[in-house]
Amino acid sequence: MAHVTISQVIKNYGAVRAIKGIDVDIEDGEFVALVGPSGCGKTTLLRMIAGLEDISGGTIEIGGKVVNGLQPKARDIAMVFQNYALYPHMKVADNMSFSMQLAGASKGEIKAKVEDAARILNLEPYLDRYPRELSGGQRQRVAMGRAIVRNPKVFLFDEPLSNLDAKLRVSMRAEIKSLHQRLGTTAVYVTHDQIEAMTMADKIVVMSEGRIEQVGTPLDLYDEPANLFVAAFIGSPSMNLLEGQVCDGGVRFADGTVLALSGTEGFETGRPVIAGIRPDTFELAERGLAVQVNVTEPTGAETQVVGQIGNTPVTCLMRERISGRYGDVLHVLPQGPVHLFDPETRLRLGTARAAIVN
Amino acid sequence: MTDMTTHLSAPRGAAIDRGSLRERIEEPLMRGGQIALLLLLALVFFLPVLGTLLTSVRTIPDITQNGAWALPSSYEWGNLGRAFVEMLPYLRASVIITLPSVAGTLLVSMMAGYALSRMRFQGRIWMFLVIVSLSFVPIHTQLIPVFRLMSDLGLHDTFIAQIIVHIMRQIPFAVLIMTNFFNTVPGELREAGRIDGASEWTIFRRIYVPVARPALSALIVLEFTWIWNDLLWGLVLTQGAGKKPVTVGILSFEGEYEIAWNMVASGAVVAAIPTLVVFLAFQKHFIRGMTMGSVKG
Repeated sequence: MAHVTISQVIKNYGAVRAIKGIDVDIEDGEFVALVGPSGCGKTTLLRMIAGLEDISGGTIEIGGKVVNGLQPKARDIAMVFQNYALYPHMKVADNMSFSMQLAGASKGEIKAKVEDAARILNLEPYLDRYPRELSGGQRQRVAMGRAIVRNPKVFLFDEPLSNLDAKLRVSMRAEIKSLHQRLGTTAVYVTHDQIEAMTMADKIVVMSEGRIEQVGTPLDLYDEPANLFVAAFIGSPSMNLLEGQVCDGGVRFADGTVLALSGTEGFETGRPVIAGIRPDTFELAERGLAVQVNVTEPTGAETQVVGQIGNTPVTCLMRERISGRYGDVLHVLPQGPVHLFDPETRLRLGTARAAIVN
Repeated sequence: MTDMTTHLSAPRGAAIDRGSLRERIEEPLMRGGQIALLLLLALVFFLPVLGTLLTSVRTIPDITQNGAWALPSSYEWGNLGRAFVEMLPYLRASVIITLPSVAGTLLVSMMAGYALSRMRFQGRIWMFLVIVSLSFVPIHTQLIPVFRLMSDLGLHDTFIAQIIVHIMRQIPFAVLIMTNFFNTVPGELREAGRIDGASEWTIFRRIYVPVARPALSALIVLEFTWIWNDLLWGLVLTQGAGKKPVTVGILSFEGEYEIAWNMVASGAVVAAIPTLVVFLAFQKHFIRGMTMGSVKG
């Protein structure tokens, strides 16, 4: 177990700067998710922690020791790869114990550790099989077993669930989380799936284009996104973003509707803003924002209404069972926070709430 | 509901009719043509083998009287035995030349293929291209320079000279095969190995070499056949009988004024047996190795 400190880390590929100076502090025993769209540098950062990529600038510390120049094996980390990377010619038990064999551990010690890990992961019946004889979920568990056997300071996961089908992914998600809680080992988990990040992580690092957009607990990011990128990335369906201007007592949208808000008093009238409203905060109202319905998608518990306000596409998640058709108009009001962002800097300005309409 | 089913079945029925027309006339024709072509090719390739087999058990008068393609008037199985006994020193030389040559080629090409496929270094692509393009150098342009070189090194009429030359000639092809094979092995295996604490050599020996078994089997069959069947180098680089491979040995049945065709054929049959044995031993892997990479999984 150890904390991981990443400070001012840079990665250059030739003239291209893939990671542009990143700082992250990972506490001992914490489960941190690196999340972002593909190409944002999250996997590169993970591979730099693992020692599979050189660090072009800055330092990475594991357990208080700078590991920049260390080989992967000297860093005391274990990694679970996206495609598992199991050795195809070795049986499950050998796959899991390869690192111990190389380190010259005794047969008895290896056997005990492998059996321990197999018990934790329900792999006992499969120790004598080859990877090709296992299902995707079992291979995934062998890959984790290989990591557990080493008893490392830090677990590194590189999108470990993306090759599994949807149902298995959900159950493995819970398995990894409970495993982490049982072992208490620091874990860094890369994913592009924000739901995975939200459900598993103690702390999420949202990245885009080689920079950190925001670091925080899942609910921090959900409740107070620091900028438009995080606002749109976290939450599903994603936040509605409506352009408008501050007016007396609220925000006036492009189509002329005024949303009465409390909390906009500090802004000068006429200031352009982007209002971010979560789809699930909308409730039906007598008057309010007029949503032209494109489709309604009932899921049973909720109905997802896809439509537009003016020319801006919006999604509303309604608890009522609405059977709107194309062209219908619904009136809705946000009953939760309305996040205000600066269209220029794309940063968060503050939170407002819908005022009681009278 | 009924309306819908009839509506659906109509175009489907038409599609079946069109398909069956093709099935009835076009496909049997194509199929028959393919089989005829394959039979013809098989015959073309098999005839020389058949001729050799027949000739090997005939007598010289029989051959001169009835021509090369007649059935033997009497079956002289003793020819094969005699050829085997006379070929023994040549067979021994061929084994001494071929086994180290195959082993050396495999060793060098595996290591080179691993490095060219997995390691990132300056000039990697160029090095690969240069190595592979060496296989385009015609053997005939090399005969005299290599002969001179080996003489100057004092290696004329030795096994080692032949082994070195065979390895040199086979490396380009073998490196090409191994590099392309290692390119199909997921790079994560090496990274997993690095994280597990394996050195580059351990990763090569304990992960990549075992994984490459199908490719290696294919290479063993091909290289063994090519090196075993070589005639030119054995002819150029040797003087005495002791260092000549079996292919050259067959020529010893050629006299100054006449050729013992039946013995030449018997010698050829005897000389072909080891390659046949090697092929049969690695056959399963060989076919897998040759089609490898064509379909994933």
